[in-house]
Amino acid sequence: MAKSAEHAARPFLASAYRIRKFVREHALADIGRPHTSLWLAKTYIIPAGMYGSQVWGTGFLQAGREFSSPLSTLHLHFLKGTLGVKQSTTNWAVLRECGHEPLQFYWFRSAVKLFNSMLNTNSDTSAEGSPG
Amino acid sequence: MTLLRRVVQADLNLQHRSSACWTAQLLSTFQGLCGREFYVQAVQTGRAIPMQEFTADLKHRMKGVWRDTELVDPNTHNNKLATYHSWFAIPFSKNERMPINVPRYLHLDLSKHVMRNIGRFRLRAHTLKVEAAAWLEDGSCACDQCPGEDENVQNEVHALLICQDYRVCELRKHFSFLFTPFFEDFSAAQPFLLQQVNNQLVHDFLLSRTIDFFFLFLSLWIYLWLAETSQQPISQTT
Repeated sequence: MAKSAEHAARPFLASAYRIRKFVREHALADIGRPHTSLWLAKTYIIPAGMYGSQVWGTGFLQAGREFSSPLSTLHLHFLKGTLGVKQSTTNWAVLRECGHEPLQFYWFRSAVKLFNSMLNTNSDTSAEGSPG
Repeated sequence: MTLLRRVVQADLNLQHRSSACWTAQLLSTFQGLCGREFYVQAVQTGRAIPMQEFTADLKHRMKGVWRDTELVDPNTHNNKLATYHSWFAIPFSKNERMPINVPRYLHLDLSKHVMRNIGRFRLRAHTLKVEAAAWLEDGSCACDQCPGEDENVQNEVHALLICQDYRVCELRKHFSFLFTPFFEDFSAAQPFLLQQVNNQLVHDFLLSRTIDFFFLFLSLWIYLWLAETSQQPISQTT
């Protein structure tokens, strides 16, 4: 795994662990209710998987590279585990079934947001460095 | 000009020398977006990209995989995405900003095993012949449950509506009220369909309001079918 993405993998896996633990402790797994896990994943896992993605994620934003990042593999592993289907199940179908977007979607948006905010910044600190 | 803006400008100047710099990579990622030229120009001239339009455009690009599958008929092509899209998937909202809806079974208090079986069935992660043919020695997709000699492909629709196995027919008879509003040919005397049905009709049937009863039927049926095929080797990752 690329060193940059590795930094995001740790909080990502930690979030996945916390969700699994929460689901187990509240016996949500016994009565089904996978939508709870899926909803929690959107809230906790995806932000964790975006850690620093504005910088390192640009290599994974091309069309057709939606699943080339190791973090995407971890994301899909979580979703497939939640649904209880085998790991070879089609990725796009699993994402749609779970109501999730690929991580690439969030990375791309955050990269563009970073670009916009760099243009529009009015921070005094950043202005101090400017000779003009 | 702020420091950050100068950094962006410097990175922009670097893009001609190195394809690994941030701006060069960002510019290459706009491929496939409807407003590609606008976004590239915005980056090159240092103008902000409107987020709402960009997000809708990005979602449109990602849905391209589903637009491609619309041209494929799951009855004639063994394509998992086309099967899922034509028969099972919840339609996308016309409003691009709306999140993707999840199927209703994920909100029901079903047992873990029923939930898993429904998921497997919908995502073609099951042991029906159409899927098992890929890893079975004979590689045949023909249904081995039908009593007749006709070689029908044993896919999801065949199993739900067409297969003439007597146990499945008994289940269909028991839950006939699920089928009769959708299929005129269906009756207690003939609890199966004789020919392939329209994909849209199948999709409507699977999304019907009587879905709770349908899950009961489906879970019973999946149990029966998987029990039948449980002696066969299943994928290592199942």
